[in-house]
Amino acid sequence: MTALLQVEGVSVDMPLGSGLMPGTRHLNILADITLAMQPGETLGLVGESGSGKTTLARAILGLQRISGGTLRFQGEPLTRPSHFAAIRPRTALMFQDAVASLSPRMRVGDAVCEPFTIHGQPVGDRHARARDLLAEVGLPPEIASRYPHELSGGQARRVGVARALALKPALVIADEPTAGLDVSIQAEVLNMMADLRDRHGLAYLIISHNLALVRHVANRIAVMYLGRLVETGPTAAVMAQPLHPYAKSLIAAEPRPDPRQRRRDLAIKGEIPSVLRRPSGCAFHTRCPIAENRCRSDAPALRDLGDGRAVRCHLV
Amino acid sequence: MTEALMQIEDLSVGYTVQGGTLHALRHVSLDVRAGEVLGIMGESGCGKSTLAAAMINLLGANARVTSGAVRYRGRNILKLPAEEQRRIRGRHIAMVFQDPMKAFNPVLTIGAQLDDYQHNSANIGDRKTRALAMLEKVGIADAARCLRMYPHELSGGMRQRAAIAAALMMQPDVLVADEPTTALDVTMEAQVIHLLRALRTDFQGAIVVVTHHLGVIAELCDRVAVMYAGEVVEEGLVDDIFHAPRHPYTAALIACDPATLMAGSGPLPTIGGRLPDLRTPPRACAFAPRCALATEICRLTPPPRVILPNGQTARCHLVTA
Repeated sequence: MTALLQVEGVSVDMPLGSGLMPGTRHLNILADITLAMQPGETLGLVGESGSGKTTLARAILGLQRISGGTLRFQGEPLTRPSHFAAIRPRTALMFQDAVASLSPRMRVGDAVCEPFTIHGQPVGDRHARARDLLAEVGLPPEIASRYPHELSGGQARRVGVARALALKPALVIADEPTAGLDVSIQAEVLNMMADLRDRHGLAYLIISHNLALVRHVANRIAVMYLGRLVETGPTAAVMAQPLHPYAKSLIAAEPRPDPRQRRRDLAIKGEIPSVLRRPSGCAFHTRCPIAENRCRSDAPALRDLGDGRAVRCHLV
Repeated sequence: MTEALMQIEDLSVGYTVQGGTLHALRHVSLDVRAGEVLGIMGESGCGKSTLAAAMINLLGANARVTSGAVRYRGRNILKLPAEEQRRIRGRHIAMVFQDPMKAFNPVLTIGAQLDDYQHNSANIGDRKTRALAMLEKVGIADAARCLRMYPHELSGGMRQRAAIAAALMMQPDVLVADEPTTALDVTMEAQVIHLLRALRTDFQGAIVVVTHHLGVIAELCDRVAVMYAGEVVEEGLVDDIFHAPRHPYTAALIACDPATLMAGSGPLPTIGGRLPDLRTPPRACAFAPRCALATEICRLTPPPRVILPNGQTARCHLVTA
């Protein structure tokens, strides 16, 4: 079976300096990112702010130029802007801020039909189309005549999903799909996303720092730290027994809604360093509880451990 | 049981909005006791931030107190003259906000602002020593450098630590923290929870944490008040609230958090329905239209506040002591 998405050795560098004085030096943001997604699969991409999750999503969609490596979508290589343009109807992005992602001057009905116009596809009866798309995400037809400011957070999120689904994509990239939503609304949005996945065979790339959410929805998980993938594998296996010290501490740091499982001590201290001051060797060595000398000098490679798991650590 | 530092008695607060008054708090009674971390838990619109604002008397200009009192050491702080309120605020009751960027003045250094908080203390040297000691206490590694920095130069986690240091500067009796970890990453969140827990042990006062995040409540609090539609619907010790919730809303809320479930265990439970419109609050049980257990009486009469033998309370017709 052809993988839906193949990311191989992708790196992203951004020029330092800006405006009239573009620098000749570059800052490395992502390096050596390798992962694949199968049709219908849900991959959870987790890591702290500044780990490069969103940059990776943008690179996959061609919104961020890659400096090295290869990207393939349904087997087709993506190298030129025209390649990304060609796959755009088959991919969709759900933005983190659902209300801000909708034009404040466009009615919901027009917003959900806009992808057809953008991609020059026949929309048919706009009213009927809007009604069907809204029904898919569990919204009543009268929402079509509303403006974004008249929607609740949960409704705006559903409209974002309806718009993402308009062209029947194969891959939906969801950046923090439930950020800012209450627990009960979050549960409704997650159930709806799971239902749409089952009915349309969608694959989701879910970017989130909410581990509980990822554990619930993702088949596989990829943990990022400072622009590197440090661990990937089936969600249940990684959550039950994380191997990379960062993945371990991230999972241990998650506050659990059970006062009987309080942690006595801190799993991880300090903060993610700035990419401007990337530590030598393994980027995690400054916070790692088990770092040795070679971790400070040699950068570990992502090693395949079988059973679909891979880890970037000298000591595993 | 320790004495209450602060007593909220039958407090009702309404906001003047288009189309009438929004009854954000309805007859809330709650004690804040010395040496405890009290959690106020609920979803958007339940009134938890209004309650936090009332505790430090920072209610908005469009808010109106329609009943009740907030008593601090026996006096109703909502009725004090402005000058006396200012003397209590910050010194006896302090607040940590969700967004630490907005809590600081962007054009002054952290040092200058921590100095300002101590304007009553004459000696400049003492003020600086105290500011340094406080920053160290909240876990800022290079405190001397932090004093010279502007708020934008600190990371989000450091800013929140500095905001906690600022709030503790005058050694208040009550520290009210409104969503103190919501803007932080999970590893920083764990560190701030750890810090607040450590502060609790050597700080004589009370900490009130307002959040929608059940994990934060479970990790940090001793006692919990669950709010729904402007009312405290359940109150009790954290272990009882999470392991033996009596109000159907508390139970439903805990059940739909994916963190409480095992991986891939099918669809998440949901609550269904929406919050009532608080411009016309329901007379009977506010949760009845969404409650799976509701019966005729729930839709007709306001539920009593049932006090259980372990001190837990629930505002529900179906709970019996």
